[in-house]
Amino acid sequence: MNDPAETLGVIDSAIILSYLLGVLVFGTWFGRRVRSAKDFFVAGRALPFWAIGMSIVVSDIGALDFIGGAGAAYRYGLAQANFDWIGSMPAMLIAAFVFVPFIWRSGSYTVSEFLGRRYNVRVQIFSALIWLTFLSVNLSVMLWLTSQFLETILGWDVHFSIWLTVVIVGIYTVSGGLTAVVMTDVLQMVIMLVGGVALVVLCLVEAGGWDSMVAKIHALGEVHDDHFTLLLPHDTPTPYPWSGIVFGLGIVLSTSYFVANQAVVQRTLGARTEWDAKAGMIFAAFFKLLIPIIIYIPGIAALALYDDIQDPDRAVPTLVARILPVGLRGLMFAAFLAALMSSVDSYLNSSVTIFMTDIYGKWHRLFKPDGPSSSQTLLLGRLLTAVLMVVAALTARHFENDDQPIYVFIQTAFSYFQGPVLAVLLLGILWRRATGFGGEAGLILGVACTVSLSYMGERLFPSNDPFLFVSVWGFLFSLAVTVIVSLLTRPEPPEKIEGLVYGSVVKSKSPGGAP
Amino acid sequence: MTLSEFFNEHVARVLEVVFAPADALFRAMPPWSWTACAVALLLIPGIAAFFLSRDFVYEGAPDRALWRDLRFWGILILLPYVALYLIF
Repeated sequence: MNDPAETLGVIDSAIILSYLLGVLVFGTWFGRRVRSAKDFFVAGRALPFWAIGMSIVVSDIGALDFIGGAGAAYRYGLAQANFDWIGSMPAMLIAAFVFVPFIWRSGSYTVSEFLGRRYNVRVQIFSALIWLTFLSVNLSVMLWLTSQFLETILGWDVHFSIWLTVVIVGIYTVSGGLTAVVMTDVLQMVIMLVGGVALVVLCLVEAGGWDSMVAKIHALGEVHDDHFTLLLPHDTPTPYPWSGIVFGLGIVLSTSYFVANQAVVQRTLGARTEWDAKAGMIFAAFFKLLIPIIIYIPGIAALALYDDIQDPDRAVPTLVARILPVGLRGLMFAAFLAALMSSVDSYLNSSVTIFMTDIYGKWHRLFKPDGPSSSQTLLLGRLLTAVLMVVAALTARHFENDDQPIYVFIQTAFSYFQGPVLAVLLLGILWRRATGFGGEAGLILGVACTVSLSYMGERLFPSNDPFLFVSVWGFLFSLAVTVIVSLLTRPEPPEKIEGLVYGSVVKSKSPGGAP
Repeated sequence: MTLSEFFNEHVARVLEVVFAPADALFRAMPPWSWTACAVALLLIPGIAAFFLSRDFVYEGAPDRALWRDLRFWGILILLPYVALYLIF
């Protein structure tokens, strides 16, 4: 196989360097607009819907998708696209029409803050710790995967790659906050789409068109008969049984991801109007339709063209090295970098927002009822962003020797929280009678339920990797517990839940609030 | 005895009463019903949005132009998704 690093032309290198410099200058330029904590954390609530939509999608696409996702498509076929199609569209509509308006109207900076207002401070902190752990650990993992990617296809030193990413992303995120993150995401989305479309077109031309590609893959044997099937049997040997995809992914995991993940929701909280918040989420659903085409189709095409690739994660790098001409190769690498950096900046900014709002803000109010001032919060937010970036870079190295198991463990463990978090958030918005004790019990016992089920996964469910099924049962159990405990405890006073529950808000107010 | 052994010996036997019928049901369902479930999941939120009031949908919009009606955005965007699940 050609070594991509050896086949990079001067034009390719110039495109990559121009991209890196361009993102740095473009992102930093937005720093001059940041004058308060509100500007830094929620972009001064001035984001238009198109920027929100593009930012949501590009933040969701990272190293795992371009390398691991395309590799999974090479191995399992089109079923991988479920994560961006049925695993996004219904959830994004539900988020746009049910959850986003209420959280935006509440003026909250984070979903956990909303839960704290609706239930109590214990629910807020428990939820915040879950998301803070997930986002900050993922930050380290993303930096590590980025460096792995750059080492594999560009030949760059791992530590150089980590610190280069840290410096570029860190500078514009520290100076420009959410505005810089979202606007650089827009630029990165355009680059990613152009590079991705170029790769898809060349792949299909090389494979002789769609029909020829399908015929070549089916000719590889029975094992690939379902390579172009979205819904696979309940007892499929792949990790994607239709039942788990529709009920676990489509209803529970994706909805929880799009309504409770701070990295997603924070963009809508920065919207200039409630309409922009809702429209941004729906606009993102449109782009989600395209993601499997530019990421997974190349993975599938790689099987038709090179069926002897031992490591599926090498599928797309192999295509890039073998079929892209000079110039387009540089553009494609820039697209990869865009996907990687857009996720890193989003997770960084959201982690800091959760810490400043739900942990530091709450702790500060214990001693000073007024809470920290806006200028204090802005300064601390910027400092913390820089510190977290450096810590993530230092801890990223620890994934060097541990390979995937820690990451897989964290992802699996995280999936156990998603059902209970969704149940508590759903009841909090739709049911006035849900109480603080009900929310606490639903969250804690729901997590206990999912963890317990995970021990019995292989016996109770058909899949060796039963997180899709566990999430459904955890969600249902949490719903039941929250309802029962709420009915057994004293209702919340109407003034406490005013504006936070369906039926108690008619018009959106100008959101206030401060961390 | 490990936690895994404890759960599998004592708890799983009880839970199987609930999970086994669901597992049998999913195994018995024909492929067309898988597609029907997926298409229903896609369509329900889009159709349900039309039961929301226009005030709620347009809240915050600068005007009430038809193109700003997000319910139509939802339907238009979900149709290609439905087509994909019907084709593949």
